[in-house]
Amino acid sequence: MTTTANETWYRIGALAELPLGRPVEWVVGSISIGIVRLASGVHAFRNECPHQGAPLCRGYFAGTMVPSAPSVLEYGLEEEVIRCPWHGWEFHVPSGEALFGISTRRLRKFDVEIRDDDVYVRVPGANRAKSLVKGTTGGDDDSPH
Amino acid sequence: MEALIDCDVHPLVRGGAVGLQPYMSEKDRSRLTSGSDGRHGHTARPAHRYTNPSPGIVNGALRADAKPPTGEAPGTDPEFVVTDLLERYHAEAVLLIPLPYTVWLSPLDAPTYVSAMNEFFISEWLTVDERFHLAACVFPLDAEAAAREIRARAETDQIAGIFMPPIDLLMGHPHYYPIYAAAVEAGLPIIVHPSGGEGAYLNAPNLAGGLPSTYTERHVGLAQVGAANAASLVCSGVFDRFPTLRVVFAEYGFSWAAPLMWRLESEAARLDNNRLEKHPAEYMVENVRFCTQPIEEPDKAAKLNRLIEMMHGEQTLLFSTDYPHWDTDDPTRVLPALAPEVAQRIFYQNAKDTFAGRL
Repeated sequence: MTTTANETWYRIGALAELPLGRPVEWVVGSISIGIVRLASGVHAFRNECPHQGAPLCRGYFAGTMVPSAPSVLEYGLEEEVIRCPWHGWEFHVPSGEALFGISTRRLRKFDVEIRDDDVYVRVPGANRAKSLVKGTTGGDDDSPH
Repeated sequence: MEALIDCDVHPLVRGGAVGLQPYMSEKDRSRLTSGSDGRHGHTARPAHRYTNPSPGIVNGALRADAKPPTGEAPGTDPEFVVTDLLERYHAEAVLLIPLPYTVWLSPLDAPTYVSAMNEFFISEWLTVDERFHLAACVFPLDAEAAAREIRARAETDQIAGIFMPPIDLLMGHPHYYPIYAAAVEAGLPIIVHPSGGEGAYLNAPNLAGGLPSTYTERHVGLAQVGAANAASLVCSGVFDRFPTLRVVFAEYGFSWAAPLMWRLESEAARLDNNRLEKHPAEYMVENVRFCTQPIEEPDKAAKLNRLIEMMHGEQTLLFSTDYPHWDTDDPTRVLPALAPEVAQRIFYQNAKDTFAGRL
C-alpha cells in the first residue's frame, strides 16, 4: 500500500494470478471492490449495484444482446458486461455505463495501474486497509426448475 | 433503518420432496416420495417454461448471492437466512411463505404434502430463531382439508398466517368459505402470493388475454391475478360474510389498488351495492393488505408517494423483500422519500396490526 495526501493505492496481487474474465472481490476497509482482468486490461469497480446495492461480483459476467435491427437478435460485448444477480441490470465494465438506457446510474470505477507485473487499485478515501479479503465470483448456471 | 418486519420471505425444503420424508407416515412416504430424487418423481415440480432467463439465476428464480456457504440452494439454510437477511437489516420478524407447487397434484396427495411441509418448517426453521414466523400452507382445491389444516395449526407458536396458493377460481367463490371460516376462527390472515404455476400448470390462475410469450410479460402480468381476486372478494360480499377476515396480497404489486378502488366505487355503486354493506373501497382499506415488493419504480419518488397516498398505503401497505428471489427489494434502498410516520407504518406497524400481534 502506498499513500499520498489524497489517495491510497492498494496492491491487489500479481497480474498473472488474476483469472481472465472472472471478477474477484476485494474488501478495502468497508469498501467492497470487484476486479476483473479482461484482454483489454484490468478494471476495478465498486461491488455494489447502483440500483439497490446488490453485490455485482456474485452476478454473471459475459456478453449480452446488443441493439440491432427489428426482429434480429444479436449477441455482443462478450466478456465486457456484468449482470446484477438481483434485478438483472447490466453494466459495461470498461466504460462503467448501464446498458442500454436502463439507467443513468453507472458503475463506480477505480483507477488501476500495473507496476512491475503487479496490480494496484487507487481507492480515494479508504485511508486504512482493515482487511484484504479475496472472494470469487458467482455465475452459477443451475438448471431451472 | 428503524424497526422492520418483512412480510414475504421464502424458505425452501432441503432436498425437495425427499426432505419431507421424515414428516410423513411410512405409507405416505412410500406413496409420495418413492422413486424421487427431489427433482423427479411423483411430487416433483414439472418442467416450467416461465423461469427467469437471466444467466446466473439459480433454479429459475433465486439470487446467486443468497447461496449459503455450503453451496446449497438459496433459502435452504435457516442459519444463513438469519445472518444474510435478519441480521443484515435488523428485522424484528419475518413471515416465511413456503411455496409448495402443489396445485397440479392429485387432491388425494396434496393435503398430505402441504401438511408435511408445514411440519418441516415448524420443526426445522421456527426452532432456529424466534423471529421466524410461518404462513402455514393449505391446498385450496380441497377446502375442507384446508380448513382442517388451519385448525390444526392455529395454536402453534410462530404461526402467523395461512398461505393459500391462488387457483383458477376467483376468491369470492363460496368454495372458499370453509377456508375463510377457519382462518377467521383461528384469527389468522389469509396470504395469497403467486404460486409459480400461473399460466403454466393445471389448476393455476390464468393471465388476462392468453398465455404470455416471455418471462417478462408473464411476470408483470401477475398483478392481474391480484387485482382480479381483490375485486372478486369485494364484489362477492366475502367481507360482509366474514367481516374480520384479513387478506394479504403478496408480490402482486400495488399500483393497481387505487384505480381498482375508484372503479369499484363508481361501478358497484350503480350495479351491485345492494349486495354490499359498505362502500367497496372501505373493504379494500379495512380487510385487504398489499405487500410492497416488487416495488414500483417511477422516475421520481414523489410520484410513488402520491400513489401510496391514493391507495391509503399508510394503512394498507406491508413491507416485503421476497428474499431470496431475484426481484428482491432492499429496505434501505426502496421507499426513500416517505414521511417518517408513514414509513414507520409501512415498514413495521401495519404488519403488527394486520397479524394481530402474531408477527
